[in-house]
Amino acid sequence: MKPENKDAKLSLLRLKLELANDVSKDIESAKNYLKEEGLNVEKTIADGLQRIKQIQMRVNASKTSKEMDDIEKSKQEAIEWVDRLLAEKNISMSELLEKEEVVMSFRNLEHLSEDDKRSLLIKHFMLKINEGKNKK
Amino acid sequence: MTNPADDPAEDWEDMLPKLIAFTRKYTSDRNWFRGGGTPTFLAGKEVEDYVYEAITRYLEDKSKYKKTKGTLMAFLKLNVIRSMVANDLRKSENKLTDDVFGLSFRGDEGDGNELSYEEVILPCTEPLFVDDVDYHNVKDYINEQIKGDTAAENIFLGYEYSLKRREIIEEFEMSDSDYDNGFRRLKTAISNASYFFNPNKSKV
Repeated sequence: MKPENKDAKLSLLRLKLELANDVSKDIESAKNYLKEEGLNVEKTIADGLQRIKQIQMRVNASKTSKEMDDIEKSKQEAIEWVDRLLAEKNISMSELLEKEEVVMSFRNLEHLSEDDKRSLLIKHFMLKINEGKNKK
Repeated sequence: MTNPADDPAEDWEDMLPKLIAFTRKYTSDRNWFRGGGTPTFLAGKEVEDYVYEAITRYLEDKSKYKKTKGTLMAFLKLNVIRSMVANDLRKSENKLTDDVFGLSFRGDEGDGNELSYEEVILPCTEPLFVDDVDYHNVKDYINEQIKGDTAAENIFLGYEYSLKRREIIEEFEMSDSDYDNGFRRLKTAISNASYFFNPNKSKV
């Protein structure tokens, strides 16, 4: 394409965009233009808002699903981490809880069942894993 | 949903008609850049589909929108145009522009690009216009149509030099209504030109 024709093309493009900007510069201009185009403006807007609502719901559902997947992944990582630490360091869950300085307000470590301790450790390491991921 | 209290930028009730109007107007005179029978561009899609595609992209990842680069409307308009170009790229029939690949994704978000959304729109738009039209002739035709109409001539000249509405008003010392009336007459001339230079019509 010759440079002169390209310049002429660009100046017409600017106009083309300005024409589109002009009819969409404010809500009144937009509605008037759509009416001239033969659209039922109120119905177009109502249907469109409904469509956006569906898009939002779909996007939110997809995000929630991803978050759930992420939580599940973190939980699995935490379980593996706890099992490995207990095995490698050859310590009890109570000792690991103390070593990790897991705060248990108004809870007495001695009164916790093994399942409770394991659950606390997994939650503790899930938090650590997520903190690490958020820092990246 | 349309709750400005949650996010003032997302007033869909206000933005949606404007986006649809923009997109319809943008595509309405396509006979002088794509021709009525083109197999690319709008093929298989309604005009409004581009609007909802742009909104979906935004809702899926709001972090792509940077307030410093312009309004959410400008961002969405740019994405409407990007969707049109992207749709074209997927079509093997597209042989109407010589630089589609080079221009279509220029100015993508991120990568340290600080161009405003308005500035990015123009190069993104170019691939949608065919190259085999003699745009000099189109300009001459419009100039002939508005000859003697000072306001329309000045506005046309202003856009040739990349001026914006406000700059044109100041540069040529017009009132707002002078501009609006002149622009309306210029629109008629452009509309005539778009019919006159319809590539399909000229082939018939």
